[in-house]
Parts: sequence; C-alpha cells; structure tokens
Amino acid sequence: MELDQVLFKKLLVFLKKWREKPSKGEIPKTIHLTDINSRLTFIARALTGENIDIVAAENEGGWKNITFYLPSSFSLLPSLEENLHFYIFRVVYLCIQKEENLNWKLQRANQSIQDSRKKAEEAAPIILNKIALEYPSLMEFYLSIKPHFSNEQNPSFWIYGKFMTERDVLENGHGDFNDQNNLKKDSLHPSTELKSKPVEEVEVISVDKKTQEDFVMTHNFEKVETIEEFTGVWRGFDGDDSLKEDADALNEVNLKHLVRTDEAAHSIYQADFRDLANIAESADTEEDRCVTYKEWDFSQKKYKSNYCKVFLKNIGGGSLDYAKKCLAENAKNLNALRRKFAQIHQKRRMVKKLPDGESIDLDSLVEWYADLKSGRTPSDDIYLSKRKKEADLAILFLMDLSLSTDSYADGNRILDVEKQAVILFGEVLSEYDVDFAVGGFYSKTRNNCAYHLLKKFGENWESGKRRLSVVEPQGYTRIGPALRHSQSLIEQHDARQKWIILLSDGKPNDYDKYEGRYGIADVKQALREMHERHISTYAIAIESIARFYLPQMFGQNHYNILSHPDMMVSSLASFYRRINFS
Amino acid sequence: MLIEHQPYYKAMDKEVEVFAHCFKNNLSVLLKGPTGTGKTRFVEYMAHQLGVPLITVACHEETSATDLTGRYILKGAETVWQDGPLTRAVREGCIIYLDEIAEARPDVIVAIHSLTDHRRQLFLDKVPEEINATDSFMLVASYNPGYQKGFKELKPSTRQRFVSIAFDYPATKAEQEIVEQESGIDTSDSKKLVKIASKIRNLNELGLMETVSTRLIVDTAKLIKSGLPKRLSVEVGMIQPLSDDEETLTALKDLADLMI
Ligand SMILES: Nc1ncnc2c1ncn2[C@@H]1O[C@H](COP(=O)(O)OP(=O)(O)O)[C@@H](O)[C@H]1O
Ligand SMILES: [Mg+2]
Repeated sequence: MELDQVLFKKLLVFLKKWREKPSKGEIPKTIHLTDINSRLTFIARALTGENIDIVAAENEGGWKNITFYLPSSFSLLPSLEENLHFYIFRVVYLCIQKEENLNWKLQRANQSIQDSRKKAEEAAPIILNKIALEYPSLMEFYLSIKPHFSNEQNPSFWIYGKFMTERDVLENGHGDFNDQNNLKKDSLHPSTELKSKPVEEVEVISVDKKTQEDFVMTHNFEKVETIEEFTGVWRGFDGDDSLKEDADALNEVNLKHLVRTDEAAHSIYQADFRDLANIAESADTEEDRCVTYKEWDFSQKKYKSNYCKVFLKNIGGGSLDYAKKCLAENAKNLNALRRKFAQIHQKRRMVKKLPDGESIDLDSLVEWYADLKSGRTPSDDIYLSKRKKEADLAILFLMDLSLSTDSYADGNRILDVEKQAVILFGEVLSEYDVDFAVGGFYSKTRNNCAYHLLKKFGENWESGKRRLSVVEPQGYTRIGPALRHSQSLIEQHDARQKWIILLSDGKPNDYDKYEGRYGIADVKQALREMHERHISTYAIAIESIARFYLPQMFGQNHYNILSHPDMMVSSLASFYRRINFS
Repeated sequence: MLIEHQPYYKAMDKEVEVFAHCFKNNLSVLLKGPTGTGKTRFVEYMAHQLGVPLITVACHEETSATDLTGRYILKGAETVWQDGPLTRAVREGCIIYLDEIAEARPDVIVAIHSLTDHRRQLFLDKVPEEINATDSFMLVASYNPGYQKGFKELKPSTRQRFVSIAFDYPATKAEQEIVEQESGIDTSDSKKLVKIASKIRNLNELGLMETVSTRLIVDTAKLIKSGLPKRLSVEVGMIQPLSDDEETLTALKDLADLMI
C-alpha cells in the first residue's frame, strides 16, 4: 500500500470511529433499510403486483423500472416509529409514482441532480392526491412530517425523492464480453465481496473504446449491493483488523465515477482478502467432458442454442470421515428422520388380503364372516403384511456450490448445511433402497459451468459420501445449465416419479449478467422444460434472499425456506411424505 | 339432503346454464378452482334449483373407495352391508359432490369410472351388486389445480370424464356484493376489505404467499359486523390465517393498516 493510501485509511478509520460514537442517553431512532428491506419489499410487491426489489440509494432515491431506491438509513424524524413510517410512506409514494409513470423519459437527458429533485417535487401533487384518496391515514402522516422538511438541513427531497432515468441497465441486452480469455484469470475468482456503498446511477468514463455496453460495472454494482450475508467471509481472518479497515476505505471510494478498462471491473472493490479460489481449481483440466446447453433469453423470447458449456468434473479422493462426523453430530436428527421414514413407509407398504401375514386384516375378516353367513365360500385371504414394495422413485439432489454458500446463517455455513441435508437424507434413502443421485454446480460465465456428479444413480452411497467431503464453495450460481444437465441425467432413469431437489440460496447470478430478470427467467424456463417431461422439482434454501427468488421460479408449494438449519429434517421428511402419498 | 331454502349465489358467468344442461344430459361435472371461490355454494344452489337432494363428501388423504361405496359392519352376531354416500346417491338419485377429489386415494377414481360414462352403473364387488343410477343422479367433483402440481394431480384420462367449469375469485364489484350480502356490512367497508384482498392476491401471483379467498373476506366482514374493531378483524380474519412467518405477517399488517 502506498503511503498516501495508508494515511487516507488511518484518517478514515479515525473519522469513522468518531462519527459513530453514540451520544449518551440517546434513544435510538435510526432505521436501517437492511433491517426492514424484506418487509418493505412485500408492501411494494403487493401494491404494484410486480417483482419490485428495494435497494439502498446514495441519498433520497427514486424508482427505476422494477427497482426502488431508498435511503440506506433514516433518522431525520424525532422518533423511531416515525422514521419507520417514513419508509412505508416512501414505498407507497414510489408505487404510485411508478403507476403514474412519473420519471425522466429520456435515456440520457442532461439533467442535473437539482433538476431531478425539482421535477420530483413538481410531480408530488399528483401522487399526494392519490394517497389522500386511497390511503387517508398515510396522508395524515405526510401532513404531520411535512413541516420537518422545509429547511436547509432537512430539505424536502427526502419526502419527494428525485426523478431517475427509467432505463434499467440490467434489462438491456448483454453481449459476449465474457469471453474467458478477456478476463484476467485472477479476477475470475473474487475471493471476497464487500457491500460497497450504494450507487444507483453510474457514469462511465470510458478509457477504452468500448462504449457499447456498461454491463461490467452494472454487474458489479448489482453484486455489491445484493450480497447480503458477507459475514461468513470475515471468518477467515480472526484477529486481523485490517480487513474491516480496508472495507471502510473501500466504502469511501465513490463508485459514481468508474473507470472502465478491459480488466474485470470488480477487482476494484473486491480485493484479494483470501485465497479460497485455488482449491480444487487444479481439477480444471482439459479432460473434463463438456456438454453444451441452450439458455433462455426472456427479452428476445427465444433460446440461445449451445450457449452454455457445462464441464463434467470428476473428483477423486475424499474420505468418509466428513460424513461419519456429520452423521455422528446429527445422530438425533438422523434418528428423527429414520422414525419419520419408518412411519411413512409403514403406511405405504401395508398390503392387505394376503393368504398369510403378520396380522389379521379386520375388514377382510368381516367379509369372510359375512360370506360364511350367507352360505358362500369365504376367501381365506384375510391377512395383513408390511411387504416391501419397490419404491418407484428417483431423486436427484442438486447442490449449489457457489461462493454465496460460503456465508453463514445462524453460525452455520450454508454449504455445510446443504451437505448435512444430503448426507442425512441420502443415508436414510439408501437404507430404504430409494435410488438417488447428487450433483453440485458452480459457474464462471457461460463458457465455464461446472457440474460435479457426486453420486450417480445406482452407485453406492459410500463413494458419494467421499466426494461430498471434498467440494468447497467457488464461483457463481448459473442455475439454468445445472438444471438442464440434471434433467438429462434423471431422464434416463426408469422410475415413474422423478424429482429434482435444488439446495441453494436461491439467487441466480453469474459473472456475465446471469442475474436479475434474465437469470430468473432462464431458471423458470428450465423448470418448465422439466415439467413437460414429467420431472417434478422442489427447492430448499436457508433463510436469506431466497424468500424473494424461489417463489418466482418454483411457484407456491414447491419450495421451502428454512428459518433455521435445524428445520432441515422435518422439512425433508414432510417433502418425502408428500411425494409418497401422491 | 334436500336443500330447502334457496342459497344465495351470485353467478359469475354462464355456469348455471352449463350445469343445468349437464344435469339434463347425464354428464358429470368437474369444478376447477382455488378454495373459497364459491364452488360448494354453487352446487348447493344448483341442487336447490333442480330440486334434487345433495350429498357432499369432503375428500382427504385417507378417503378410499370403501368410504364411498360402503362396507360390511358387524351387528350383533350378524354382518350387514351398509351403503356408503355414493351408493345412496346412486340408488336415490341425488347429486353427489366429491369435494377435493384429487386428495382421495386412487381407488376412488377407479370406483367412479363406470358412473361417469354411458353405463352410469355402480358395481359393488363385495356384495356383489350392480346398481343402475337413478335418472336424477349426478356426479360433481371439485379440484384445485396448480396448488399441488407434481404432488397430487388429476390424470388427464380422469379429467376427460367430466365437463369442466372453472372458478376464480370474483371481480371487485361482484366480490363486494357477495361480501355485503353474506355479512351485512356497508359498502365503504366491503370496498376496503376487497381492496386489501386484491393487494394480497398480487403477492400470491408473485408466488409469495397463500391467497385470500372470498370465504376469508366474508368471515372478516362478519366479525366487523358483529362489532369487533376493524383492524383486529382484518388481522385475525384475513392475515393470520395466511402465514406463520413473523416477517410476512408484519408486512401484511402494514399493508392492511394502510388501507383500513
Ligand atoms: N359466487 C358466490 N356467491 C355467493 N357467495 C359466494 C360466492 N363465492 C364465494 N362466496 C362466499 O364464499 C364462501 C366460500 O365459498 P365455498 O363455496 O365454500 O368455496 P369453495 O367450495 O370453492 O371452497 C361462501 O360461504 C360464500 O360466503
Ligand atoms: Mg450463489
């Protein structure tokens, strides 16, 4: 680090600490957007009927396409309650503003921020009129807070926001920038992702000649704004404070003016704090078999054929210790799952009207007696048995191995919870002779999607458990090709019922613009392809951003979001019960 | 059971006509649609209109053919056959309404096969007996598609045995009218309730949650009518039944509070 950088950082850390010190005896009144984001998202989605996302704004914010920008925290009103209400007010306000389509229309109008604020204030009466009509109590709130925002310290733009340019960069086409050789090898493996300070509109100062698309920086700003749980990432550095400081310094970088070069832009704020990426990277050899899959482009409403390359990876080695330890640590859960399975299977396998069996079937006995009484020859098949019937079922577990599974929920690493679920469920399925397979995936652009077949159908479970012990989080989450490859595997199975279960954090994303609506639409399309072929799908995720992504893709009743990893067992069991009774 | 008083039913489309023609032509009817959209009420209304007794069976996971056709029971030292609801309907010429038929065990579908085609016969293999359906017998079933895709679906071959009528939540105006009729609350309140419901239905379309049925709105309206505070009525009548998740509930309460 250069000296000036060091000084800058020191100063910054100092300022930050000084700024953050709370004064004594003060009642907290600040509301942070992150704490109420999902609550507000619900409201916005209900009122508009669209998949609105809410993200932090630089300042007052506004709306753009299906994204609402709101202040990242708010404390200008006297009480916590009022500041919370302020957010609700802004959300409703933006819903109406969007409904009325009040925003800049031009792609790049030469507007200043002052213009944008002025336009927003001018539009306010239309919006307030509607509020008064439809949400009278909210109008009262508005009238009560209005006097607070009439001076220089509290300018009125907080209430009215600003106009933004409607164009959403995310929705624009996406090119083929992602050619692997264009990107420096290192930058493909961001080892940590920081939430940087929000930026909603980015001016690109182009140093190269490529002005045609701004997706590299788009991609980045989306990622830095949405990676919610980066707490896990901090874990590797116990005792090392410099990380936090670096983060502060990075936060001060104003992302508004980006310089674009041919290098992947995310190296700007994704510093190399950690070197996880090299694990298993050596397996990327040319020997990996490669298959290509199409991808759905929702804006064109058509497939891009042979668009994604999926490399089938073989992992060797691995030991049984991981699974043994997991099973031992979860002995209680395992037994609970076994009991549930026993119940389910007992019902399913009860066979009536047998010439002999463990017990007498009362219904048949009554009939036997009736026949006897009426002078007919009764059938002697009056026994019950818990016979073993072949389960006509094949399940494929598809595990998200992307870096986002390296984050922690309730002190558990997501990937470990995924592994744990597969190991427990797999253990019991194998005891009951239900055939299953396990796949894992991650991606680094469409040209490099990886698929680990951790356990094949029909293969013994031991080898699967070994391979499971080896996989570690890496790359991004291109779910579509992984689903399509899973489909090609399970299709060959002759079971009548076929299920693919996705375990992930539920958010499609990849380095080359596989996100937002594009990613979701492709996953939905892949699911549709499967349903046409009578393959059923289900998704399980640990509580996270999944709440807003899984439903869009999987539909109601076909996903389960666990608020705690301990719910995994009961969730798996109830899922299994449902497939068994259908 | 003969329905004596005419039930209140607000027709949405041509369903009354369709049903009447099916009855005349001995065709079975499948009512498709989410819960609480007035399917049961419609069948009751039609039974009354046609003057035919109605027998309703709510199907569940354990409902088997035996439950519908009948079984032998012990009576003293005797075993006697007892008709199930379906058999009674066939003999006496009733409308039988199998609610949520997809929930029932597969043998139920097999048992009704011969009743849904030209034969109109029920075969009791245990007695054994073959019963020809009385002329006014009619089979009506309901089914909630979408809600259990992959889990419990009605096979296409089964669906082809029925004339199908689709049900959905009524349009705003009609729903307000139903709510007012059923509960007696005034228009300004029914408007608000229906509006809240429509916003929550937006969330349902985005896959975020269970939906609000007309039934829930009517129940909430009844609470309001009998004097419970409005916000509380909405919370217990329309919001709490939808979810157990704290965060979701909070957001829904915010939403309702904005509108009432
Ligand atoms: N078209 C309608 N006319 C009258 N009442 C209706 C209508 N649709 C719904 N309702 C009300 O909704 C309630 C639930 O309807 P119900 O017939 O039980 O629904 P379903 O059988 O579809 O689950 C009824 O008790 C009634 O109050
Ligand atoms: Mg991911």
